[in-house]
Amino acid sequence: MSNIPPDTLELIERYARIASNSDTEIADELADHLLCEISSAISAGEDPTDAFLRVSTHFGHPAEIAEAFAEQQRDKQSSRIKPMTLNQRSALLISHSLVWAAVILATSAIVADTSTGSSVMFILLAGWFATFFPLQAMIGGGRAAACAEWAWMKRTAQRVLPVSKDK
Amino acid sequence: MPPAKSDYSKDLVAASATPLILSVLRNADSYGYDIIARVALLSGGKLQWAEGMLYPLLHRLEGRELIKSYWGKSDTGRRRKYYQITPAGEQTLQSQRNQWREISDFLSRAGQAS
Repeated sequence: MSNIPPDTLELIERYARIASNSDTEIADELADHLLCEISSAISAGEDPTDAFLRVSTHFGHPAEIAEAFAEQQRDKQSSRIKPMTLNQRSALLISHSLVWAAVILATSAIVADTSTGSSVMFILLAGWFATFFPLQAMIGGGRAAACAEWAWMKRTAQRVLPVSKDK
Repeated sequence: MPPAKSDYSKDLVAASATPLILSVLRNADSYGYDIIARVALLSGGKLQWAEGMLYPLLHRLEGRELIKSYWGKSDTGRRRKYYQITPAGEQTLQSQRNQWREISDFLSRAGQAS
């Protein structure tokens, strides 16, 4: 492969980098393939640039190859995630509820005036929402549980917090 | 699946890609360029994959543990990735060969019956 000029080598490496999403190992693998083909084409008398253009065109569009690798990686990652059992999901949801209930009760014990209570209520709700997104991502399909938990949270908040008492 | 620039339909090429790769690797460990060359040779040039799409498929098969890879060196000293069939790959190959044989038999019988 020493018959490949440096500028063609650079083209090959750039092509491989794009097609591999800059993954070094994949880029090396793709570059090896292109080098094999282009080297034999040059040995057969083809111009190096013409050989690169012909071989890379036949090899495929680098963006399509990159997308195929990305898709393969996504499949690999999703197959690694083990779905939680029903008991694990329940335990996670109950723990989540209990932690937030404890936070709300503790806050209600500390906060006495209405205006501060409103602000605290808003912050707590935002916090609860924020923690529910990763929770839902973990358990998958937890929309119904989220609605149930939200209803319970609302009832608890209305009973306990000063802002709710005023209403 | 590597779409074909060949005489065969895209679906047929996609369906045959895995058993063909496993068959080539059953004979000997090999690398991407060599696998494509062997398949082209075996098919008399009728089956020519869009070469770049072979590699995501090889990685997918490796993810399913049907093949495994290791780095070696080419004649020029440049590093090269080789693939090797696994016992699970051998089983899958055997199963897919049987399925292809059965389909071929069905087609033959259907042709005779009509």
